[in-house]
Amino acid sequence: MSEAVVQVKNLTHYYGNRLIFENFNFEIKKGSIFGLLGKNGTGKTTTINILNGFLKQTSGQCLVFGEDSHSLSPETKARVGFLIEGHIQYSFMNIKQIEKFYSAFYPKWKKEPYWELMSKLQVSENQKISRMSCGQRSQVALGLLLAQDPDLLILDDYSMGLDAGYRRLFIDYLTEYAKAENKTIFITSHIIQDLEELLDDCVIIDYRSVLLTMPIKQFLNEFKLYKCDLLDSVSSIKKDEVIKNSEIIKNKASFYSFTGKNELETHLAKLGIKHSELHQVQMSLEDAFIGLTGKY
Amino acid sequence: MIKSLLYKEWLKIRWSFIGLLLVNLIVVVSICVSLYNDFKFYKPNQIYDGVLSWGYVFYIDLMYIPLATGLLLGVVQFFSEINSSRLKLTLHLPMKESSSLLSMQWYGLGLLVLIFIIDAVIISILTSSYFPYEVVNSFLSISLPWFLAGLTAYIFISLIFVEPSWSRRIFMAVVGVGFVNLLFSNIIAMGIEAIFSRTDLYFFIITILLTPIILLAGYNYKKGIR
Repeated sequence: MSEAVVQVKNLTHYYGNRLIFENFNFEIKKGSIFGLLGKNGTGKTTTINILNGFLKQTSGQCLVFGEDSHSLSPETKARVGFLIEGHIQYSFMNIKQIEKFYSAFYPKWKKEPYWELMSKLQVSENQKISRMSCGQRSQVALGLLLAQDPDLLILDDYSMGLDAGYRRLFIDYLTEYAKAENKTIFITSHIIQDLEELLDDCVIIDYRSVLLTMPIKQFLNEFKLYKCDLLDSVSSIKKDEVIKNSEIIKNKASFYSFTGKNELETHLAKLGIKHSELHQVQMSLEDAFIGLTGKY
Repeated sequence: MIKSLLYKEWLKIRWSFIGLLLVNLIVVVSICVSLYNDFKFYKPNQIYDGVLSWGYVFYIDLMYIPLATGLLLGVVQFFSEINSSRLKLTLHLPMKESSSLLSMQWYGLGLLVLIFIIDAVIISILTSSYFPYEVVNSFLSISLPWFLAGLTAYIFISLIFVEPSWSRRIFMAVVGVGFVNLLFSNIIAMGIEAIFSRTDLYFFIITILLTPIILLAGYNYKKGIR
């Protein structure tokens, strides 16, 4: 059995009286790339903050390398690379100063990957971070993370403010690094489509609840989209054990379900929904995510 | 690691530090020029009489400069940490969080003390070249609360910025204003010739003892208290 790098047990958090999530459980295995997916305001950054010890949960336990996330030892912190939402860094430094600064803290510091990324930016060593574009700053943050050579990377919405090119560059470097060095990554992003090829496992959260926790391939194999024409006028269909979500536009219906086509046919017949040409449609991770969580 | 952390602090505040040092030097030099002109245009016995008998404080322009210096250095140093949650980066560094916070705070205090010593030394040298020892002594006694007010303001600014709870921030701001007021209160009550009192010293010692509150503020920051 693989060693669990992160263990989240019965995590519950409230902001005042507002419940963010309740009894949230998951484990991140060593060497896996784990995605936390959810719409805005569902608690992704809250979870990251608890994992990094920057927020005390209302109840439950969060362990990172077996230590309580709120009191990580300096040795464990050195094993965790942390990307703050928006690629925040010390913007008053230039790219040479920031490399010099961080190198003193990390025993496994490898400056090569950092300078390799900086050479691609074609900026001078004296380039101040505050005068760089968001995309360039993301490369500085990524380069520093790779140079730190952490065993666990926690990345809070790496895609924020990045165009398609920089997002791709970020993911390509991350994928290569994680696979080659058997690193563990915990990642959130609001751009789901980029994560399809990257993730091994995912947890999908909605407002106040966890919708599912499973390997990404299993999710894409088991969660299906069916479309059909409705023969009678139907305004809406309630979610249930079989139909996880549905959409009706005029006489065209879409059903999201974990069941096979025959089971869905039987279920629709039970509900008295007359239809024709029920067929399965291929979905991307983004389609599946929207199918499960809904558009609103 | 501490050395590297102080390197970061220096990079962050060096221009502000140099700017504040220059402002202090400009004020001190203007006091020197003004005194030189006084001796040029008046008879020395008139100036001695003014200083010794009438309480003429020729360095009065310095009064609020240390306070402004402490406030500005504190704001520059700690606003940058709070802005965009950069303090998270600092607290995530693999070292004790207490060491990080106290090193930052005491580094700022050290730079302030350096500026204030430069101010005091220049004015003391100037004073000793024109006046007897007693006047130098009187300058140090009168100006010490001004310098202490600068250090006190800096300490409270550091606490206010790191503390995440607005109610506690407001409480600290009120206490800080009260402490600074007390350091200037002798001047208000007794006039500018008021000298450094034992009460001032007690308040300053209390303020220095409050510096570890930054650890509590850092703990609250980590707990995510709003």
